[in-house]
Amino acid sequence: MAIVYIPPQIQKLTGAAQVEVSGSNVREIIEQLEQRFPGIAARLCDNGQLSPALQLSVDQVMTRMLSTKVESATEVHFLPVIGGG
Amino acid sequence: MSTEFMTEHSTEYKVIGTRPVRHDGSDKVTGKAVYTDDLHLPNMAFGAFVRSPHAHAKIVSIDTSQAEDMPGVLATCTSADLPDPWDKVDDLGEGCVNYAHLSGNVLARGKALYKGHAVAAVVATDSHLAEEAASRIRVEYEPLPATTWVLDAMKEDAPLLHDDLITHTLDDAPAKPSNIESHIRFEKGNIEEGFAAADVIVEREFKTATVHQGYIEPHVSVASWNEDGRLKIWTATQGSFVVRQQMAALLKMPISQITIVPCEIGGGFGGKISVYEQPVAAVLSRKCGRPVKIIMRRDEVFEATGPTPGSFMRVKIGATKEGKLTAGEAWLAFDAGAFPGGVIGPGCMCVFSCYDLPNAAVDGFDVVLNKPKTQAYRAPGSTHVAFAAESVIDELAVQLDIDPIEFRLKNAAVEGTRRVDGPVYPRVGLVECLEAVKNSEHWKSTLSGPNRGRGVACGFWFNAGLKSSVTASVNPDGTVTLVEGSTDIGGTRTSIAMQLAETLGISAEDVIPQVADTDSVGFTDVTGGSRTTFATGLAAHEAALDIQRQMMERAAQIWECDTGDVEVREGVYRGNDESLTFSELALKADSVGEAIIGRGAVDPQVSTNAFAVHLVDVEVDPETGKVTILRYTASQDAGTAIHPSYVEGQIQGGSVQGIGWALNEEYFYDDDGHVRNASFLDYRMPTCYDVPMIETIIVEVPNPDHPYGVRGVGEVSIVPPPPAIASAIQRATGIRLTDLPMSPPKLWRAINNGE
Repeated sequence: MAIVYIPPQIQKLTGAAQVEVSGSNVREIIEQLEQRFPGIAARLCDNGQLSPALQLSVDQVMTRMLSTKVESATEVHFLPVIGGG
Repeated sequence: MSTEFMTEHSTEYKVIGTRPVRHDGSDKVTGKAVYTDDLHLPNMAFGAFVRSPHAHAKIVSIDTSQAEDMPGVLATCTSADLPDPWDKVDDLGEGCVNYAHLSGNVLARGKALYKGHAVAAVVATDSHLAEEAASRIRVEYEPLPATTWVLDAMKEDAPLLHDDLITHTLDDAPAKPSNIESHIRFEKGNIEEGFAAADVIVEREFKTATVHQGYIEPHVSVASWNEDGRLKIWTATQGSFVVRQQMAALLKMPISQITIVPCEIGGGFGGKISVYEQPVAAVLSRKCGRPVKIIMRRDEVFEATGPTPGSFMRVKIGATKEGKLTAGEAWLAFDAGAFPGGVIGPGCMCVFSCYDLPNAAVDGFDVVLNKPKTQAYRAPGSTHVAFAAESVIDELAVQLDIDPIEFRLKNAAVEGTRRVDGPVYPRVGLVECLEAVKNSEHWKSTLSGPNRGRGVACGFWFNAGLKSSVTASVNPDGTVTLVEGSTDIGGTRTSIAMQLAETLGISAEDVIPQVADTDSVGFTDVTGGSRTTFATGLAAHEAALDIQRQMMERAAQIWECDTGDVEVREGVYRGNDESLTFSELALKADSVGEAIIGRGAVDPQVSTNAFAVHLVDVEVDPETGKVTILRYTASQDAGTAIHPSYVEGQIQGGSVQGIGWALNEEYFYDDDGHVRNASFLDYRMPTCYDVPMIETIIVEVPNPDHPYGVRGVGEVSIVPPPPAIASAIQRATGIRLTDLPMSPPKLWRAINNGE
C-alpha cells in the first residue's frame, strides 16, 4: 500500500500524519482517502483535478498528474506549487 | 580567473567540460544580436501607458477623448477592451496563474491596487506623441487607504485589496475575506520534544525589503494583429510558449492564432515570465491596424513589473551542546503584491532544507498589499528564508563555540534526509560543497585587521525539470542544425549544443543552435528554474540518439549489412570492415536517402537539488557603516559542469545579486505607498567597482537523473550571500543585523546605538 503523508492542516480529518492507502494511481489514492475520511478530497482537488495550489511528490517525482502510478510503499506528498527564476 | 574543481564523475568526455566560444558570442559582442527594440516594422506605431498615481484607489472614470483628438493618435484602450477575464487558474509550468488576476494586473479593473498600476494605454505614430497623449487621458480616482508592509496588511482592520479574497488553506476556510491569500503549514516530528532536548535555543525575527531583479533590458514587445486574425508578437521573454498560453487566455483566442517570436533577452531572473505590455500592444494593434511597439521605461519596470517580496520571518532553532540540531520552528509572512500568488510555498519548503532536522514546524502566509504583483527572482523565496535560518544557525555555532563549517557538517542534509515538507533527498552535494570551502585556500587563510570579519552560509534550491523540445537536422557537411524552444539567457544555446555534440561524437562548433518561435519547435517551458541546461540538454541528448540510430541505419544501407552490425564510438561508425566519421557519413547519407532529422521531447519530473556554500570576508567602516567585500568564494554542486565558464558565470552573477540584496537594494516606500527610488540612480545595485572577483569552486556530484549528471546551476548562488555577509559583519562588529538590506545607514545606527 502507498504511504500518504497527510498535510498538517487536514490531519484532523485523518487523525494521523501518515495513512496507508491502496490504489494504483494518485486518483485512486484520493478516492480511497475520501471513502475513509469524507471531505478530504475537496481539500486536495478542484473540479476533479489536483488543486492548482498543490503539486505531488511521488517517490521524488514532482508532478500534478493524478494518473501518476503508485506502488507498494510509494510515498505520496501534497506540496505547494513552486515557481523558479 | 580562479576556479577549483571537486569532481566525483569518472567519465572522460570530449566536449563536456570544455570551454568553446559561445555560438551567439560574435553577434552579442559586435552589437548584431537582435533584441526586441531593434525591430522596426513598416508602419509601426508606438504605445504608452497611463498609470495610477495612487497606491490604492477606486477608478471613478476614464476619459480618453482629449488624447484621441490629438493628431497622430491612433487608438486608446482600457480594461474594457480586454475580454471579460476567466476566473481560471492555469499551470504555467513554473507556478500557476489566475487569469482574472493577470488581466486585472495588465489593465486595472475598477480599482488601482498599487502606484504605477496600468489603467489605460494609447498608441500614436511616434513614442513622444504617445507619451504626450497618455498625459491627456483623464482618470478620476477616489483614493483609498493603502498598506505596503506585510504585517500591517495582515491586521483585521487593514484596508482590503480584494473584497472576495478568502484565505486558501487546507484547513477550514475562514468566513471573512482578508489580505491573507494563503496559509501553509508543515510539520515533522515533535517540536516540543525537540526543543526540550536542546541545550541552546536561538530565536530571532528578520525583515527583508522588496528588491527587483534589475535586468538591464526593460520589458519591450512588438505586436502585429493581422487582418486574417493572426497575432504575432516579438518580445523579450523567458518563455515564448508561456507567453502564447497567457495571451490566448487573456484575449480568448486559440493558441494556433498566436505566434510568439522570442528575441534576444537582456536578463530575466524570473521577472520575464508573466505578461505585462504584450496584451496591451496586441489590443492596440488590433484597434489601429498597425504593428505596435511598447517599451516600458525604467521607472515603469520598477513600479509595475514583478519584484521579489518583502518579508517578515521569525525562526527558532535548538541544538545540543555537542552541536546536533534538535528542532526548528519558522513563522514566515511574504508579501505577494497586489494579486495572490507569491513565493511563500518554496520559502516554507526551503527554510530548513540544508539540514537534517529531526523536529520542525513551519507556518507560511502569502499576503496581498499595495505593491506590484511579486514574481520569481532566482531561487524565489529561498534567499529570504536562508537569511533567517542561516543567521540563527551561525548564532548557534557562536554560542556553542563550534566552527561554523563543522557545525553545518554535523547537521548537513545528505542522501536520505527527509525535508520538513516531506520528500527525501536522493544523492546531493551539500557536504561536498562544505568540504570544498573548508579545504579552500580562502578558508585556510588568516583574516586580520580591525573591523574585519569572515562569514559562511549554505543555500538550497530545488531546480526544475519540465517540458523541453528540440529538433536536429544533419547537414551534408557534417554539421547539425539544432532548433530549440528555450530562450537563451545565460549561454544555453551552447550548453545544450555541447550535449548534442558529446552524444554524436562531434565538436560543439559543428552544432548550429537556433532559438525558434512557437510555430517552429515543440512546446518548451520557460528558461527558468535552473532547468534549461538540464531538461533541454536532455532533449538534445534524445535527439542525438535519434540521429545516431538513423545514421547507423544509413551506414548499414551504404555498406549493405545489417544495422546490428554497425557500431558507433566517439562519432566514428564502423561495420562490414569499413568506417566513416560522422561528417563523412553525413555527406554519403545525403546522397542516398531522406534527410536525417532527430527529435527530442522530454518532461522530466524531478528536482535536481542544488546546494551552495559561500565564504566572505568583509571590512566595516565604523564611521559610515559601509561594508566592503574583501574576498568572496562560492562553491556549488553543478552535478557536471557542461561549460565551466557558464557555470562560473552563473555562480558569480547570482552571488553579486545576492550581495546587492544583502547590502544595498531595496524599494523605498513613502507613507503614501509610492516607490521613491524607481531608477538605477537611486536603486543601488552593485557594479564591478563594489565586488572583488568572485572565486568559484565547482563541485561535481553527478545528478543520477541525467545521462551526463547535470544539475541546474542558475539560481542557488543568490541564496547564501545575505546570511554569509550578516555573519561576517557580526564577526567584524559584534552586531547581528536582522534586516535587509544591511545598508550603511542601518549598520551605522546599529554601531552607534551599541546594538
